[in-house]
Amino acid sequence: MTVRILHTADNHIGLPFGHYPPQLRDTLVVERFDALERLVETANGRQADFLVIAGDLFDTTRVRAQDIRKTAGILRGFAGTAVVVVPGNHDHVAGVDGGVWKRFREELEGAGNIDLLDTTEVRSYDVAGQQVHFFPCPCPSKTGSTPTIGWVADAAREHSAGLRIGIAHGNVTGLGLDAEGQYFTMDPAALEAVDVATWLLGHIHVPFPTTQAGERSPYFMAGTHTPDSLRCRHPGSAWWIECTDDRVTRYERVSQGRIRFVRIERDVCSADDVAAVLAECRGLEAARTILDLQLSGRLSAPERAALDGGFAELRPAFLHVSDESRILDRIDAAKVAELYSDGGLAARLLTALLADPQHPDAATLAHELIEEARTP
Amino acid sequence: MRLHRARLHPFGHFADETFDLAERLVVVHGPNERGKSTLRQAIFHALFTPTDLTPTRLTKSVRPWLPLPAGDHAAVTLTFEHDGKTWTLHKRWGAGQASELREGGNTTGGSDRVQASLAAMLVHGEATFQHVLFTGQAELERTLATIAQQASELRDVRDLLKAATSAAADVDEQRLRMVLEQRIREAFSRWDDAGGRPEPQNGQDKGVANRWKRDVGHVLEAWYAWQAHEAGRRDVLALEADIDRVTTEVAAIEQVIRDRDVFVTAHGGLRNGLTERATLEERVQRLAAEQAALQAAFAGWPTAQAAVDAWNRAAPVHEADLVKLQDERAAARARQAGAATVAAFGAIQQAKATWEKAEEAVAAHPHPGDAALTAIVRLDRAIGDATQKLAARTLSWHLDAEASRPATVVRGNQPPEPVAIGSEESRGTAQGRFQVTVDGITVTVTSGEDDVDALFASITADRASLARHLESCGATSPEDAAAMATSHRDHATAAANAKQVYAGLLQGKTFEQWREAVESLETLPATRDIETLEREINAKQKLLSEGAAEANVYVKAVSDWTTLHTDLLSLGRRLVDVQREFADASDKLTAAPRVPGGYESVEAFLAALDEAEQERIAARDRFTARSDELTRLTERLADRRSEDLAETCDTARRAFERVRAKGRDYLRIRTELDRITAGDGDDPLATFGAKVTDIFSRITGRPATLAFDGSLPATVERDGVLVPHEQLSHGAGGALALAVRLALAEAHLDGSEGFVMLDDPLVNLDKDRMQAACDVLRDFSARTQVLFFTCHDHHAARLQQPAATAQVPQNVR
Repeated sequence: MTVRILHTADNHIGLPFGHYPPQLRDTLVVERFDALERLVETANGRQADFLVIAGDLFDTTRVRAQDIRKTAGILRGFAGTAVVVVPGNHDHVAGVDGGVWKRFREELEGAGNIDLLDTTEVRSYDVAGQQVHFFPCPCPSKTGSTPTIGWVADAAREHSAGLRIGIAHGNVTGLGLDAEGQYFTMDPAALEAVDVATWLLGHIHVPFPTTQAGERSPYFMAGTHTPDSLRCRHPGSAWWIECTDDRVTRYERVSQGRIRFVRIERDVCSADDVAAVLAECRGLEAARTILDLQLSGRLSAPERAALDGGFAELRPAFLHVSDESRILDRIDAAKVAELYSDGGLAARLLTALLADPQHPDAATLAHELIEEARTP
Repeated sequence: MRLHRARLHPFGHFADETFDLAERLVVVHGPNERGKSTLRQAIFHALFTPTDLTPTRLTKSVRPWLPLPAGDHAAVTLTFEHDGKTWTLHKRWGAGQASELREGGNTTGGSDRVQASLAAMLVHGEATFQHVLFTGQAELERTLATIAQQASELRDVRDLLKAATSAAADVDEQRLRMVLEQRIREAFSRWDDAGGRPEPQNGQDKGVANRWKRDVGHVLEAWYAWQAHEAGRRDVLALEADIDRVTTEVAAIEQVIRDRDVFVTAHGGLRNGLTERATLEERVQRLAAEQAALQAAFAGWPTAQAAVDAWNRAAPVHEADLVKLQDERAAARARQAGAATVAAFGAIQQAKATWEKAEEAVAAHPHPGDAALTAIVRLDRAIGDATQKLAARTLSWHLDAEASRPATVVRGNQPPEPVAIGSEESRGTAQGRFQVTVDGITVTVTSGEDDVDALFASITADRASLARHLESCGATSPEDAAAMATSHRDHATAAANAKQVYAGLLQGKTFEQWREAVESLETLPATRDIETLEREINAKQKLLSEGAAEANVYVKAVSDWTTLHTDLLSLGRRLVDVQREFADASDKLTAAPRVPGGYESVEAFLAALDEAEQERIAARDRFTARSDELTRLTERLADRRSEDLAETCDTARRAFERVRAKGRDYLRIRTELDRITAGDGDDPLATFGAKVTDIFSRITGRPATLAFDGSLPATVERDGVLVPHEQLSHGAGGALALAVRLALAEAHLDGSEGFVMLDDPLVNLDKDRMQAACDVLRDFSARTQVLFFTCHDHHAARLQQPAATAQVPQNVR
């Protein structure tokens, strides 16, 4: 008997995207619903038994009622045994009555197969005779220094028969940066020490394992289902996981994101570099791409013209482009020889600076200064 | 590189013309518009302009030299010598563009490769040739103009040199530094780059909360922007933490409310039943106690009454016995006290006898009397003193006579005594006076000058008085009189002591009272000993006390019962009633609801229920307060998210780092500039000043000293007259410009083989200076090939003397 699970997390329904222009903002907000809907369709198409949402289904505990309703409506479309929802740190379980989860429960009225696991209690299911035990570890707050997985080890021993799966939300040492240790950081060894088939995790918006498919992993980090910022380099991620008896036997990454955030951060110092950057941009699915250019380097006037011209042509096609590039006019030995007397102060200064790899822009800046000083 | 030949085919208005340039000094001579500039341009383009030009660049650089009206190409072939070999360079621009460089059988083709080869041969770049080695007339004049313009900034030889180089594709160090320092200021103003913080102001930190207002450099501006974002992010983090904290508190309060709700809901209904139960429990307990008390009274009343009666009978007997015992004890105590009286009376009697005997002794030893005793002492001392004086005047006498004869001697105040003189030795001593009478002759000898007779008389009188006093008091001597006084005093003291003892023993009573007391004791009755009597009295008193107490208990009980119940019958009826009430209450208690487990009593449970209700009320109040706080915090947070702000901060940080890196690049430029200029003492151009001076002196024909310090770029001292350069004549100025240019060219070539092109440099010189300049140029050409372009016949003629001339064809336009 194979139990099939689609594992997602960090959906952040209700993420406002306030720093983007209104039209783009609307697009991004809607995409999060659409991607979730596509995920449910995928789960149904593959006849998943469970859709597990390992935290941060919502962006905050104060998501608009209409967004909660819409989310519940999408999840109702799941045809498998259960949608298992565990609160993460953004939509943590503790809160005032009337918070996101109360409203969510109200919206679930009559939906028998959506289970909100907001307490540290084992939830067991029978899937065609196969016992499946989920050990949810909901977050009690947005920040916290102690992970909430401590109770699972004993509970897992008490449910030794069947498939045991832990669900938690927080950072994992080595996977994400949490210098201040405030996001329920879990130790991989501690996760592996618990007698469960695997852990389904959320929080870091980047998926783990890094492979597209495999046979087993002690834990899975879902990654956000559709990219939400420039920090997210993948096209959206969820895990298709198959379990037989009490272990994972196969997994595969599923992607349903339609929008990409792409940052091109590169030194551009030659016509080839210009061509490469333009080629990379042309290779992007511009209509679905939010592009952030962080180019630096030094170009000759023709090279710069080629770059600017190329971007002018490409830019309108992109969903959005932000540009913090800083490219200087290139000066090189040939240019120095062309412009300045050999042995003169300008030539010697520029020649020395060109030979300094630690300050690649210094020669260009010095050239600007020299030209300014020479201007009557 | 040294040129041999130039072929222009075509180039400009030359369809195909070859110029022989083989000499070291080549004079290109011809009138204006005859092609001197064309030749110069052809040579320049041949050396530096690639042939694979874009149409735009072709238009910009070579098109002016395509043959009119519609020439599609220009071509130049240069033959030159380099490194001992002869090379042929062919370039064609425009249609059929080509570059080729041949040496012997070797040919290099292609624009890039040919340019690379040429660059290696030429050593210097295009700019050096264009601005230093190829000098047009206008550029020559600009050399001096530049020097004049920068007069205020030129301080020494190096400044002059720099001014010259500035005019020739270089930069003036002072201006460069000025611009650079401005950039550095703009970047780092108010910023401590080593500390990575704003500069403090009077020890005060000038962080984002207390910013510099003015002169904020780009780095600090970016840092402030970044830190402002960081502060905003910290605020949001703090808000999020506060929200977490309050949310957790709210959750805990909600839990309390839920728990209390469950408790109150589950047990609140028990309150009435349990309240009745509490009443019943109290009633049953009370009735049980009353029933027990009634039963005890019913059983104890007769017994108590009997006990009271018995005591009332026994108590008087015991009290009479006690009186008897106490009387006997009083007699025993009196007898015991009489023994002491007898003993005391005995002591009194003995003391009385002692005192009386002492008084008798005092009478037997009378005192001599104080006056007599004083006189005796005084007289005894006076007699002693007089006697001592006489003893000090003792005379020794010796009488001797030839014939024996009687004599009478008087010694002192002794009576006269007869002595026989001469028959025997007659001698002796006398006190104070010695008198001898012999044969009617009396000789008196006295000692000293005092009156011996008076002394003898006082002794006699004092002794008589002493004898009377002694006699009066019965003493035999003064010592005896003193002993009498001492004895009398001792006995008197003993008598006084004995009297005191006696009086003390009497203890304030008279001797007769003591006697009567002793006599009365003999009449007391016989008793038992006091200890026995005390024991019996104590036992009797205890019996009476305990009996009375016990009887009082019974008395009180009987009294209470009587008050409460009147009599035993009434008591019996009440007991029956209470027993019935107790049975009823017990039955009801059994039927009443029970206290939930974990509570010792109904009271304890109801207290817990009350507490739970109070806690629920208090928790709801806290919940309201915390919810309000949470609402406020949430409104303050609005749509901000620390994750988003982290990205904003990162962007601001990157912006700061870019600005700082740019600032540091400026610092790096300054470091390199300092290094280069500090090392300029070794530069071959250091001899520039001397070279200029030498050339100038030669051209002007007079020794001159050029100074490159002071307020002018150059002063010229000739014949002791110091002339600022701007006051030089046009000719002298031209000479100075030429000298500067030649020195500049020489310094740049620095001994390497090369050539210079000069366009009519001698136009401002008079004949003598022109000739001198020609000599200078000829000398210069010995080291460096000179291509001299001129339209002046006499300049050409002067130079042609030893040098070859390349005549510009007259027929070519």
